[in-house]
Amino acid sequence: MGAQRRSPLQRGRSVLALAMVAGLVTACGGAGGGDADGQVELRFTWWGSDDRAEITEEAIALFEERNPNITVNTSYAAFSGYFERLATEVAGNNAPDVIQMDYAYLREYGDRGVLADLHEFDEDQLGTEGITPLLARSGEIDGRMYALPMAQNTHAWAYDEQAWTESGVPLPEAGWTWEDLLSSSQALTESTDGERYGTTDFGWSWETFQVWLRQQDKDLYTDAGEIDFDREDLTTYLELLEEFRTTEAATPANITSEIDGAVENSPLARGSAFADFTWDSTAVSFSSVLPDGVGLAPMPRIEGSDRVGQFAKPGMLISIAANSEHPEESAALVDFLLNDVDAGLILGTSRGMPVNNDVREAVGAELEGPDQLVYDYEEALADELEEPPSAPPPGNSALKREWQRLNSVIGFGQLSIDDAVDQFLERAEQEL
Amino acid sequence: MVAQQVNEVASPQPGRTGSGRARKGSKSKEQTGIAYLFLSPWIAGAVLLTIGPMVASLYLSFTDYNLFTAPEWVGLDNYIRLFTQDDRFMSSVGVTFQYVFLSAPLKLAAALGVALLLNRPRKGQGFYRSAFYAPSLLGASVGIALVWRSLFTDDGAVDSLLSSVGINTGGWINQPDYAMYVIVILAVWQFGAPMVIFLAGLKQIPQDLYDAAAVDGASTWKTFTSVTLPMLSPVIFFNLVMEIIQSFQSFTGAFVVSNGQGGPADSTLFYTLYLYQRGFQDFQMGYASAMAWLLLLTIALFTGLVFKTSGRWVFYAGEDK
Repeated sequence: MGAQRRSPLQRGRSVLALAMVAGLVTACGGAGGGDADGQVELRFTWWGSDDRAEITEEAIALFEERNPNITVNTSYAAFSGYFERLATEVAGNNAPDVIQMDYAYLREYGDRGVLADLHEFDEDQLGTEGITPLLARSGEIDGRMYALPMAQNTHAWAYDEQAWTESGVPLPEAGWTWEDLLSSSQALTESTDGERYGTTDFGWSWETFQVWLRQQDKDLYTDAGEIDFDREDLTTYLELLEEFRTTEAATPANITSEIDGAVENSPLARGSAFADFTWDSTAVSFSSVLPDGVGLAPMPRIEGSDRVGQFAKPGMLISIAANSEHPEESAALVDFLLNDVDAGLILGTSRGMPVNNDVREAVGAELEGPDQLVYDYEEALADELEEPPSAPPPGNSALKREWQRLNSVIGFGQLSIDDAVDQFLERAEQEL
Repeated sequence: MVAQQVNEVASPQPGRTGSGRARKGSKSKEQTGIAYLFLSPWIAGAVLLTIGPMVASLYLSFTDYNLFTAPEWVGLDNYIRLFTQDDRFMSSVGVTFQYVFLSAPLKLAAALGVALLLNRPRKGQGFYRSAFYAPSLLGASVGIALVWRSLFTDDGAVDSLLSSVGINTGGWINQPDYAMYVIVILAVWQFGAPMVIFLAGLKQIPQDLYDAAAVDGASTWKTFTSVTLPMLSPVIFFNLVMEIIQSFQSFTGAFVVSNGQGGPADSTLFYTLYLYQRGFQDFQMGYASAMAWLLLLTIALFTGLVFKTSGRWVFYAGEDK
């Protein structure tokens, strides 16, 4: 299938059909196969852009060179569509051996027995000691290690550095508050007579809400998978967002609804806003569309709170299928991708900051430009970053969509905040 | 076939005896076998790819199925949840009806209008027909939907053009009041398939009827309503049924234009899009299967309604009325 382009409907139909057939006929054979001369074939699937594909292939080639008995067949796709495809492959008993995994889906797959427990491998098969302690346990659920982090990310406020500086409004700095964000955004909007808004309405982002909650010692979910905030928190936050919109500090709903996840379509890149919430590794992409350079500021804080609320996020994780026919070779591939310095130098920061400390240092020494910016940003925050919360419960994807929908509906003035809160809590009860 | 055999019994042809009849029978059995042999690719496809999955999905619609673990029987739970607990389901139904009632008639009107224009003999006829058919070939593709998206975005081509004449909406696809129309226009623009069928239908109308109308001094409009439309009504009927079925199932436009979200503010949350989200993003395949079956029933209901009313407005030549 690879990077072939087909309409989502076609794809949806045919994968559904395939999945059904596979389900009916069952036993579609496992992953890959080995033949008599000890040659082993592995399947490795990931999501990402073309440039990431190129360097990943390069790293894989090095792995194959060092392990002549292993052939790695790779497939990649854009993030949208990746998990739909993976789900049907898994349902059809045809899971790839090595799978790039997202934090949001980890529980979905792990709890259902799809992923191998990586604790079962020895340290010399699959090294975990070099992994930064912040993230070392991020792939663990109920004592089973379903994945290892591939990269470290954290939240950031990205801004158009040149334009912000020229406007004369003071630049954001560590320790700034939500009030600071509001007042400087208002000033930025004013400085352009409303042509360009101070910040992108961050109500689309479920993650920003999470940081805000964590600054008050709460979170999105409890460990038991219930929501960890109440009606009052929800109302306060939605009112904060509303204040950004009514004072024109943030983009109006029609601009905000253009956000589709692609960097080049974001209001920041399109020049309709000065700033946006993002993951720090995305700064590299922003800098390619903002010729005058992008700046990164830590998340604004709640006045008087001593918690930054940000955590080290496993940017991506990597898992091994529970029913892989070649678990040892799969482990060798994972070990290589995570811990090998040569592989790290090829892969660079394409997936975020490397998680292995040695790799990170080696890569850090060679960085320049925006990669350097991201590296420095994380180094500066290193002492304050917290361990990530446990992987979100199933139902998170539906709830996140509901969150984005409500923000849009409120923004267009179709729903009051009170009603939105009611609808959200009702939905949370149904989905979790 | 039975009638044929009876005929043969009744009037044996010269040179044919009773044993000939027996030979004929075994030959036709053989031919039936051959027919099935030729049909087998289709039968295999229908059973494995259509009927099998359909039966499976009917079963799944009564279960809680997350794709990875075995389905769990829950009876009518999914259906009950759909109607009592899911606001988004209801809004997706509303959005879909809005789309069907807008796009199906508009598309047919566009197809008929262009077919009438293209029906007149003129130079370069073939070229025009191909040109008007082209969007249907391209239209369902993701590429075109992406182009549509960028045309109708804020500061996109359409927005800039309209702003220059003083109509400033601030974009189309990003506003709940307009986004639906972008997808409707995208659908209407692909009028090629019904247009070709209309053209064929127009060719079938006997010229004498037009000549007679001309002799009687009928106006163009009168000729259209009294000759063209009634004579074309079976074709209109066919196209209407096809369009209704297609519009209910429409997916690509909404998926691409709203980036799979059905936004802004759920204004383009088509039924199929919500079904897809439920099945493939939330892993609620049982729930999604229940939705699929409700969609099938709805389409059957509406198709049935059109058939039911067809006796009143569809005119078949040669019929006594």
